[in-house]
Amino acid sequence: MLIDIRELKRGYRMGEQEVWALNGVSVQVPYGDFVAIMGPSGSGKSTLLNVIGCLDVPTSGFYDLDGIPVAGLSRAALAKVRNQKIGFVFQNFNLLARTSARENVELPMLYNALALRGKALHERAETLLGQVGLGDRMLHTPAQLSGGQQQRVAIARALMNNPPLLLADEPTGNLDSQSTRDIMNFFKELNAQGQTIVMVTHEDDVAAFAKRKIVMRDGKVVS
Amino acid sequence: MNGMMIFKVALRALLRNKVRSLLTALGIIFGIAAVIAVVAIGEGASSSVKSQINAMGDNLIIVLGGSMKKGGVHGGMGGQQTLMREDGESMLRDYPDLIKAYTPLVRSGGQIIYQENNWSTQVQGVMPDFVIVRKWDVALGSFFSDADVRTAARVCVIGQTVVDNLFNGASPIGETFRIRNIPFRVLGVLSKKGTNSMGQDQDDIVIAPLTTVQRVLKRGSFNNIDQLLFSLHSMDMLDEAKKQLSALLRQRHRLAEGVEDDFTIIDMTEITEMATSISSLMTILMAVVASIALLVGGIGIMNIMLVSVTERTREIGLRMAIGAAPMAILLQFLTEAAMLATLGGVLGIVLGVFGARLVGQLNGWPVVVTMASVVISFGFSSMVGVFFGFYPALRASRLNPIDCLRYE
Repeated sequence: MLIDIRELKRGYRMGEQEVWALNGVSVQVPYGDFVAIMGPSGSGKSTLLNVIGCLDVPTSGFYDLDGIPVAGLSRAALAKVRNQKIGFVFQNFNLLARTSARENVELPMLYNALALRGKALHERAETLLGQVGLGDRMLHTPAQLSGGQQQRVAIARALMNNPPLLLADEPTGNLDSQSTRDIMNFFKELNAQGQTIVMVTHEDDVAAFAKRKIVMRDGKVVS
Repeated sequence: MNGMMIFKVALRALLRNKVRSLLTALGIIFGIAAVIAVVAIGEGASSSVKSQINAMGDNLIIVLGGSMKKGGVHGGMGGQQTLMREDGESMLRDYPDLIKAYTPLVRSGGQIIYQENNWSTQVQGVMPDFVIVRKWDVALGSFFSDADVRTAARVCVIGQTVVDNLFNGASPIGETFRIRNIPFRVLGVLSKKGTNSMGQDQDDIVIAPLTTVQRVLKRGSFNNIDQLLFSLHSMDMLDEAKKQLSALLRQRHRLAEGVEDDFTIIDMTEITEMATSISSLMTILMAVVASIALLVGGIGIMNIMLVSVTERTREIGLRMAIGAAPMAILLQFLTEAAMLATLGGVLGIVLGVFGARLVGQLNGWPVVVTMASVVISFGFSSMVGVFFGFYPALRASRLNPIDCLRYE
């Protein structure tokens, strides 16, 4: 099991009241799965994604990622887990401005202790950019790329450290329908090659590309 | 993330914002430049004072006649004619291990005439050891000899200013000019000494044998001497030499116990001390100015780094999401601040050196850029960067990645 979440709770204090964004969630994602997490806003899907992504820590419950119990880890240890186990794709791409596509793709490797350096690093970045169809735009900066192209740079970046899990937060939310289809087809292709993908979306036609859906409401998994 | 990587990431971040980086470093640049320039000018002034003091003579001590006291009224130093040539000679004889060389000195002066030129200057009568005592060689020709002193020969050596004004710069060796109608033959020209610390032209001078000046120019007056000049073997012997000299002069002048000295011994330490105290005061002032400048520069860096952290919140969030530990973020921003400050320091040093040279050239001031001031400025600017960069870096490292990624 790549993701094994049991009875997870995440609460926030709103004045006197305790609000449960996640109220006893259990989710299992085996290796090679492609899951779409859906639900209306406020359903807790973003919080779940943050916890899965080791950006947020649960108030209680268990979470094993790739065999590592991550629930009680320090900030530095979580950073290492994110670096090596997870590749992030965001709705707004989050590329570094005024920085070439290749440099953006190389970024995760800079924080990887066992990393490639120098020429080997460039070569890996170039290979990944080739895979996402940007082999001819490696030295372009984000401002010189379209939204779809920027998201493809971000996907190449997410794959840099060869993480077991690709985590996407509304990856097509800022894209036109053509780019959306391109990105989702690429995701499907990656999944076919064995890449596990967990994706948050609220669009049914995007979720249709996944193998299965998890629907959330009021901090609980409803189906 | 190793040191090299942190360095690279910080450098890239700075290069992405070249103009802002430069503006941020500006405070440090001008602070360091001001320090380097002022120190260079101060060092130049103090070294020129020191070299002038040194140029006065080789471990020199001077004895002047005592102050004149007539009916309770004190005259100036040297007003009383009490010194004799033999006073110094007996000092040299009795303490050869203290005194290296000695010359008495009498002063006179007057209008000197050569062909159609004339010039007013001072004439000093001395012994040949004057050359050793005042560390003053002849550049051309030769100095007069002991025989010239014995025979009161009408010969002299002259300073460069006299050569320029009386001989229009032509070689004066062997020529004869007149002082108060007495002909003097020029044996040599003294090497150029320039102006002393009081602004006096030291090369405006005629040096003649002691006896010649006494008998021919100061005709008829007593065999009194204006000054005794001694050169010591070493400055360490100064106190001992002054003590022995004072005892010997009191004995020779038959001064009873309790009677005031009829002579004054002066040495260069007082002048040196004054110069040193002025330069150390300058140093303190400069240190104060420097710390204020660096403080302002450092606050500038902190300010911009805080802005930069806010502006780059999403970048911080992204870096954290892809695996940057809080320590890596802290080090990145700290390195950026330190690099900014260090870079500012280097530019400031360059600017300061050029500035000092320029100011020195425009005003004719000597300028000395010391290695110490460069090294200290450099070290200080990096320290300022680390010190003032720490708080913004700490803030960046404590940010929550989720909030950062959501930040608009």
